[in-house]
Amino acid sequence: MFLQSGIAIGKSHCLLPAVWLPLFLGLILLGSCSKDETVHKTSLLLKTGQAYTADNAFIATGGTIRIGVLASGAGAPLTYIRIDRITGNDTVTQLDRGLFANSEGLDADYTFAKDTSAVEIWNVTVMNADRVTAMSSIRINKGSGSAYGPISYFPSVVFGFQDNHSLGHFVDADEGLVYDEATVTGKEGTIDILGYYYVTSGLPSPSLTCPGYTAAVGYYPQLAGWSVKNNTLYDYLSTDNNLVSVESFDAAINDSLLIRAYQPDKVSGNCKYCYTGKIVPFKTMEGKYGLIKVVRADEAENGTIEIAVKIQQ
Amino acid sequence: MRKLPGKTRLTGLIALFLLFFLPSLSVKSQSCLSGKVTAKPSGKPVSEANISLGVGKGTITDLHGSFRICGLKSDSVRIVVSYLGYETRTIHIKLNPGDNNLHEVPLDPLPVMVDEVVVTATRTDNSMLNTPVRVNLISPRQLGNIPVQNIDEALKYAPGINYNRPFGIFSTKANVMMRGLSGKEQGRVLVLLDGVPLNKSDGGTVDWNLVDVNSVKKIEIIKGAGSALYGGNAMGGIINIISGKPESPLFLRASLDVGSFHTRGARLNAGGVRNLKNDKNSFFWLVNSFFKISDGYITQSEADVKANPYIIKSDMRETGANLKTGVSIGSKHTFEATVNYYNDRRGTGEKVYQPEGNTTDHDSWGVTLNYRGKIGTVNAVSSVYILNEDYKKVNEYLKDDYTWYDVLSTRRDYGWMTTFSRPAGKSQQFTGGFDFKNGSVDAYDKYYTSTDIVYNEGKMNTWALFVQDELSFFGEKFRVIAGLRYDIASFYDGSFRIQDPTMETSFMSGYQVPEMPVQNWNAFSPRISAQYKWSGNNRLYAMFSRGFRASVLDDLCRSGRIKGGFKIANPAIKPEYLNNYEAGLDLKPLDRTFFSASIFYSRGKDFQYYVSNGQTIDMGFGDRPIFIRANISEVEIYGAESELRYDILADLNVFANYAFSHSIILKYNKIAGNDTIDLSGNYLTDVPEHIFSCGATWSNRIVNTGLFVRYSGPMYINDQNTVDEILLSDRYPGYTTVDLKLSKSFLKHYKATFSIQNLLDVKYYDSKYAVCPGRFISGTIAYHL
Repeated sequence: MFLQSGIAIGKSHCLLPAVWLPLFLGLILLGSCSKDETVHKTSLLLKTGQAYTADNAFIATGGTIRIGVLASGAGAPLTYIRIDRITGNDTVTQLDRGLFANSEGLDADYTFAKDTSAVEIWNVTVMNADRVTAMSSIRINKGSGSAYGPISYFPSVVFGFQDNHSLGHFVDADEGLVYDEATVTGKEGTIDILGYYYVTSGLPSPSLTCPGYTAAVGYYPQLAGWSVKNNTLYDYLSTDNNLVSVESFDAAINDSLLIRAYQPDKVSGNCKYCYTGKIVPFKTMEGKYGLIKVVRADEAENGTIEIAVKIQQ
Repeated sequence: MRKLPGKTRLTGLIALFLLFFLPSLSVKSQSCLSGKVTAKPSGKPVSEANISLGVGKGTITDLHGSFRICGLKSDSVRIVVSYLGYETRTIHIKLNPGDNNLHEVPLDPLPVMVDEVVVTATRTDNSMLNTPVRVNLISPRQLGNIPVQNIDEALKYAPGINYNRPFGIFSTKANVMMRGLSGKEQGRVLVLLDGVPLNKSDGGTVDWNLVDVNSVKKIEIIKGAGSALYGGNAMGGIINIISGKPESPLFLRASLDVGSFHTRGARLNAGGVRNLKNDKNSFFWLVNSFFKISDGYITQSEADVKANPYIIKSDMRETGANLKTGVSIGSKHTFEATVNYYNDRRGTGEKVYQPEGNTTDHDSWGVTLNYRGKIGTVNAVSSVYILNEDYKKVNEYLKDDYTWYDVLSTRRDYGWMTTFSRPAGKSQQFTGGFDFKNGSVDAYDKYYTSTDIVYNEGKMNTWALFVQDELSFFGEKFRVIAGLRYDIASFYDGSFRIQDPTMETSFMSGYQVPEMPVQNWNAFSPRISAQYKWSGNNRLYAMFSRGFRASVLDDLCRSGRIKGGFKIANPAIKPEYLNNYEAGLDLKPLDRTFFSASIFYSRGKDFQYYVSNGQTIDMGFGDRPIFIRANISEVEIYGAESELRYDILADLNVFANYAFSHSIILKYNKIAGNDTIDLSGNYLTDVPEHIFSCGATWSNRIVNTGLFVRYSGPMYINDQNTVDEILLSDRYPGYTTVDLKLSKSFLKHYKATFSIQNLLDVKYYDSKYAVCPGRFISGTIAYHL
C-alpha cells in the first residue's frame, strides 16, 4: 500500500511541480544511461598437419581440400563462419554458417573439392557476437592430373513419408540403407536423409530433409531424442531448375559430376518439390558430395519415395 | 531474487517519492461535515457514493446515502461527490467549527446518450448533435464498466468498430479500424491522444499499449473521412483519447492487479488541483504510472510446437508513466505540459540461445506542450509535440544453421498543430489553422550470425492549412459545416543500403538506393456536411468528405521480406484517397431511448497494394515473387451501422449495435505484363461483413455489473481471396466473445474489480494459426484517497 488513509496535506504541495518535474526528467535520464560495453576480440587458427591442406599446397582437380578451424570469440560467443574460394576476381562462398559457440569455441573440419583453376585463395572468416571478425587464408595451387574419385551407386532406395508405417524412414546415404524406428537405434550418426510430404505455396511437395534440420522433428518426433543429428545440405537451385539431367546422372561413373553439380550458395537442409525425375545434388555433413535421382515420389503423407543415390566413396 | 530492469523501477520510485512527500504536509483546523447523497429524479439515496475532500479525507455513503467526516482542520473544503453512472459534483463550502451539514446532494444521472460537447469533429467545442458527422462517445461511465486491459479494448463495443488484438495483452500491436477499411493496418484511422497524433509516420501504426487505461477520461470516435481537418491517416475516421484532469486538491488511486497466465500489475494515479492568487488562477498536476508482467502462453499452433523445439510462451513486461501539469490563468488561458514514458518487452514465443529469446522492445517517450486560450474573440488551441520510439526486435531461429539479428529502429514524429476559431455573430463560426509534422525513421537490421547490416532511413515533412465554416440557420435547426484542407508533403533523406552483405542479405544488394530522390505530393481534402434537427435529440444529417492516407516511410524507403515474397522500396508512391458519402439519423423515439443509424458509400482511388513487378528473387529458400507497394487499386465500400440504447433505469442500461460493410476492390492495375494476379472483384482482407454487439450495465449497491457480447463476422485472409493453406479456408471464421466485469466498493476507500474477458473461452486464430489467449480472468484491488 502506498499511503495510509487520513494523512493531512497542507499548502506546501503547491511547490510540487518545481520538484517532481525535474526529478522525473532526471529519472528518465538516469534510466537511459548505459554502461560501457567491452568489445571482445576473435581468435582464429587454421589447423596444420598431415590431415589438413597446407598453405601453398598443390592439389589435383577434384582432389580434397581439408581445412581445420580453431576459433574462439574470446569472451563473446562465436557466431559466424564463412569460407570463400577466390579465383581471380571470382569469389564463391563455400560455407556460410551462423552458429552459437560459447567458451568452447569452434573446432571443426571442412572438406571441399579442388576446382580447375590454377590458383585458389581460401579465406576463412569468423565473427563473434560483438561483430569482431578474424580472417585467415591459404593459397592452393593446381596439381597435375585429375583426382576425381570412385563413387558408390545405390539404384533403388525406398523409404516412407512421415505417416507411412510399413517402411523405414531413415536413410544412410553412404551405405544406401534404410532404417526404421527400431533398427535406427545406435545408427543415428549415419543417417543423412529423411523424406516427408506436405503442401506448400499451394503445391504438393514430396520433400527431402535431414535429422539436423529443425523442422524435421515435426514429422519425426523421435529426432528430439537423438544426440547426433547430421546436417545434409541439398542444392535446391539445381533441383528447382533441373540443372543436372537424368542422362548425366545415369552416365556418372566418378565423382566429377557430383562435385561440379553442387552449388554451395543455394543450399538448405530441406529440399522441396522432389518430383519424379528430379536430380538433387547434396553434400553430407561428413563432406561427401552426392546426387539423388528421384525415381518415384508419392504425393501423400503415408506414401513412399524411391531414389537412386550416387555418392563419393 | 531476480533484479528488475532499471527502467521498470520507475513506478516504484514514483511511489516512494509520494510516500516521502505526503506525510510532510501539515495540519490546520477542526470540524465535521455530513450530508446525504441522492439520485435524481427519484430522490432515492445513493449508497457507496464516493466522497472526497481531497485533503487526505474521504469516505463512502452508507445504505441511506448518508456520510459524515470529522477532523477537518481548515476553514473551507472542496468536496467532490462521485458515483458510477452519475455526474460528478464538486461543492465548495466554508466550514464552521463543529458540525456542518450539507443536507442533500442530488446527483444527475449520466444519460446513455446526451448531447455532450466533443472537440474532435470540428476542432472546436461542439455538441455531438450539433455536428453533422457520426460521432460515438465512450463516456467515463462506459469506461468504468467495460473490462479492459488496454485502452483499445474500450472501443470494441462501439458501432462498426473492427477490432484486432490477436494475443490480448501479449500483442505487440493492435488495430482499431472502421467504415469497412482493412483491419490489417492502423494507418487509415487517425488516433489522437489529447489531440496529438499517435500514428507513426514510419508505418502508420499506433502503440496502444502506452496509454494508461486509468488516465483516460473519455474517447471520441469520429466516423468517416476527417482529413478536411486532420489530414493524413484520418481517411476512415478519427479516434481521440482524452485523458482526465484532477478535480480535487489531491486524489490518489493505487491498485494491484492479478490475472490469468500469472499476470501481475500495479497502477498509481495521483494528482491535484490548487487555486493560486485570489482563486483566479489554478494549477494542476497529475502522475499516472503502471507496471505489468505476465508469464504468457504458447501462441503458436500445435503443429508449430511439434515442429519447433524452441517454442516458448509469449510473455510480456511493461512499464509506463505519464506526468501532466498545467496552469490556468484567469478563465482565458491554459498552459499544459505532458511527459510520457513507456517501455515494454514482449516475447514472441521462440528461444534458441538468447537469454529472453525472440522479443520486441519499445522504449518510447513523448513531450507535449499545449496552449488553449481566448484572445479577444478568437479562441486558440496550439500544441507542439514530439513522440519518439526506439524499437528493438530480437530475432533468432535455428533451421539449417543459427540466425540471430536485431531490428533497431528509431521512429520519431514531431509537429505543431494550431487552431483558431472565431464566432461571427450568433450563427456562424470560422475556424482555421495550420499543422506541421515531421516524421522520420532511422532503422537497421544488425546481424550477429553474419556480417550484414541493412539500413533504411527516411524523413517526411508535411505542412497543412485548413479552414472551416460552421453555419446555423433557424436557430440550431439547420446547420452546415464546410471545410477544406491543403496538405503538401516532402519525402527526403531516403536511403536503403547494405553493409558487408553475405548470403543472408546479398539477394537484396541489387535494390540498394543510397540516396533516394526527393519526392513531393499534395492533397486537397474537402468536407461539407449538413443537418436538420427538428427537436433536441432528433436529427438527419448528410455529409461528403474526402480523406487520404499518406504513404508510410516503411514503404517509401525499406526493402525486405514480407509474407509470401520480397518487397522493394518505392519512393515514388503517392497517397491514396477516399471519397465518402454518408447520411445518418438520430432519434429519441421514447423517453430514455436513443437510436442512431448511418449509411455510407465510399470510393477509394490510388489504393496502395503490394503488386508483383513480374520478377522473382531467391531469398535462400527458392524463388519468390517481388512485390512493390504501388497505387494500383480502386475500391468500393458501402455499409450501414445502427445503435439502440435504452436506460431501463437510471443505473440499468442496455445497448445493441450492428454494422454491415461490403468492401471490394473494383479495379486492379497491373504494373507487370506477366503478373498473373488480378484482384479485381476481390474483397478487402480483414473486414468483417457483420459486426454485432450488445451489453448491459447495472450500477447498484450490491455489485456493479457490466456484461458485453460481441460478434465479429468472417473476414477474408489474403488479397487473392484464396484458400489459406494453414487455415484451410479463404476466410477467418466469425467468432463471438462475452465479457463480464463486476466491481464493488468497500471499507470506504477500497474497490474490488473482477473481470472475465472471453468468458466462453473462444479460440480464434490468425493467418499463421497462432491462437488468442482465450478466457482471461483478472482482479483488481484499488485504494482511493
